[in-house]
Amino acid sequence: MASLVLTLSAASASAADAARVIVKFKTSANAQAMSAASSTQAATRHAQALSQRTGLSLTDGRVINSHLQVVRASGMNSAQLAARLAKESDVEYAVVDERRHAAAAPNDPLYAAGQAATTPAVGQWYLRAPTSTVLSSINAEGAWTQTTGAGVVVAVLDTGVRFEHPDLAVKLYPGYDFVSDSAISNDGDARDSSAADPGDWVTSAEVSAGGSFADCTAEDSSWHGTQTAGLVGAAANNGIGMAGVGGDVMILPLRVLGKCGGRDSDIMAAMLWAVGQTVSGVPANTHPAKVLNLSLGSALTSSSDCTAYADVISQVNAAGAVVVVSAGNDGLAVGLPARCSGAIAVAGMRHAGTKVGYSNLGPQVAISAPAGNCVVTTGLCQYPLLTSTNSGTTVPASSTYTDASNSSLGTSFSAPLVAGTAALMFSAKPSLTPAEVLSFLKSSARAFPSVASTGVASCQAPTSTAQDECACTTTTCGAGFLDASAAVAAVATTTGQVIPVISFDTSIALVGASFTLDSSRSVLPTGRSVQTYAWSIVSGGTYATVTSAANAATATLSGNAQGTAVVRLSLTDDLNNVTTRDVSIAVGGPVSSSDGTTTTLPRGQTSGGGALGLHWLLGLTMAIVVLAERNRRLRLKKIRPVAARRLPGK
Amino acid sequence: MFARFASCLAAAAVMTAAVAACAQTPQAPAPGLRVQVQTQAEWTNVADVAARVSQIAGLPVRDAGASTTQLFAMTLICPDEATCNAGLQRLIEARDVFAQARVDARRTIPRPFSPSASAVR
Repeated sequence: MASLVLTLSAASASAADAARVIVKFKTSANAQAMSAASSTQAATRHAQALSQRTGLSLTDGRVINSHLQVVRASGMNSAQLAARLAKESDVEYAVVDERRHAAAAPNDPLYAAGQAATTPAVGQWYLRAPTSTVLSSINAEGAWTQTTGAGVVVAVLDTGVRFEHPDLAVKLYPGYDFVSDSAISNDGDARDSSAADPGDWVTSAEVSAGGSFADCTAEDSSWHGTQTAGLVGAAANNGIGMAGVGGDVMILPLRVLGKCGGRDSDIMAAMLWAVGQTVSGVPANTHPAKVLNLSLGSALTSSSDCTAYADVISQVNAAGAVVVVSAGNDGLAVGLPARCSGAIAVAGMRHAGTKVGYSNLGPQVAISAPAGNCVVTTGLCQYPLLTSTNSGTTVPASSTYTDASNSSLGTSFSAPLVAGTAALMFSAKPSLTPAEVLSFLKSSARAFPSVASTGVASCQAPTSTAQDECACTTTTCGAGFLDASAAVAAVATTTGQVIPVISFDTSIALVGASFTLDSSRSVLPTGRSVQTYAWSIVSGGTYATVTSAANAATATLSGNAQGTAVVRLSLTDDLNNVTTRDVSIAVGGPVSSSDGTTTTLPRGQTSGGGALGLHWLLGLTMAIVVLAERNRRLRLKKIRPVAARRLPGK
Repeated sequence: MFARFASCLAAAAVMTAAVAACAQTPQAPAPGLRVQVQTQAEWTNVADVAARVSQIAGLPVRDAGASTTQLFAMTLICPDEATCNAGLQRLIEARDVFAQARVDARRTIPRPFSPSASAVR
């Protein structure tokens, strides 16, 4: 019989013990022991007997209660020990005592407190775990303990982005402007290499003039792409503004919408280019995306035809990427392209778990996510989706965020939550197929509340009459509420291997300075644990050096000279499987987690510095004019009723 | 002195605004219908596709562009809706050349809702 090593306290256990499980002893067996001793003594005594019977070298761990106790063993891993002990007749179950991490609330100030204090929704409520009153929030926080999306590219097909926004600047690839109609593009030309959003305002004079804007509505610039991009992947844990669903994903901004929308032909070209296909006249895409977000569309009409979109989406899927599309805001049937085969159509939820009045619905919807709802029709909007935007009413002015008085409302903002979650899933398992992504999104979705509990009528199959708030069913609002944590967990458990994730504690690596690379958010499938960490410089050793101890979850990197170094993390799990991930570090410039490349701000899109060129001066002049106008408006707003102060959500 | 400078500044501002207003005045749009065609075969030259579309539609075209080697968009130049639709119909019927021909429809940001609308509650 193997020797027994029993101790009375967990604290004295040997650090060499590798396996650690929680054992629940059957009540009948335990009851006898309970009658003779205190519960703590009983459990300990029972574990001792178990150890003697099995012949395993066991160490008692902490006693949780009279039935539950932690048991350790050496010479095997936790999964093996759990499987062995579960076979014992007096053991009800034995499970791995896994390490859990604190909920990964980021330090971005608007995450915790971004809404007006007078509204019930505080900060980015839609990313937290659901509560009894806020049923639809997506629990991204839970997913972040497993991955924050490193290594995944999300293409945002929209109005372009504001590259200078502080929550997006280091998260953006240059992208491309696919708007081929110069009247729509509003940037003076047709297709070009700048995905910067110049503004998409439409004047009443343009509407009156007919032509390209005959069916349009006069409106201010929306900064729609900046808003959707922020929800997908605003930088997280940077101490600035908000957090995106995928704090470490990279965003590929593709401009397909300009003034009053954009053409199918440009949208389809951008979709194909996003996944690396060749598009005539456009340089090759060096950052192919795994997720495409399309917060755009049009209402279903008698002439709507999905043939072309279905074909393009099938090509995108064949390239291994998913297409996430907003269902639309008419309260009617799902529009195009959301209803087309292969698209992951997303409907909009109220905070309380019913369909928000404006959201489209129908059997084409795959899943639902918060879209923003106000509860009241006067006063501050109570559950808007806070995100990044710009304050300009026409041309860009200052980087800012939407809030309770300037609200983001619409299925446009539900889709990015799903797109960001899909990116987290790809990060957890890069080999996922588009069909698997859809399947896991659906299977991990939380069920809608019963119709009776909502107090509103059940949603019906769409007709020509818009449906207001209603109780969702799986044939009208998809499989359920998006649950980012459950979706990532479902994926992670299938991988069977540790997936290294590297995050940084700074956005800039400077010569002469040190910073930390952190792998503590690597994805650990059930039953797996990391045994060793190995950090090394693969190339560019002249520019950076790993200066910390080798076998640790974190590493300190020192910048030696301006240039790019590639750092490799190798993780060895408890089954001796080794997985690696490389990350490029640009010393002397911005650093980002990506698919092995480093992003610097596109030329001309930095937020300052350099010579004062004509464009810069013009921009400054315009900014002053816009700010003056904005201040004037703010002064006017002070004497208006509250309800009149809110701008329509874009 | 200051008043004079201020007057000049104001005049300059007015002129700038006038120039800006002129620049933003929409041009009278040329009549036409934007169409998208998917060709049966691969075409590498956009001009060739444009010529074929023009020939089959019986209408001149402008602003031809390629998305892929089988997906092209251009504007049929036509004086009225009926003529435009007839041209498109001829493209749709030319199945030996075009797998698909359709209006290159406009998609927009899903229409935003005013927070004061009941649908946002």
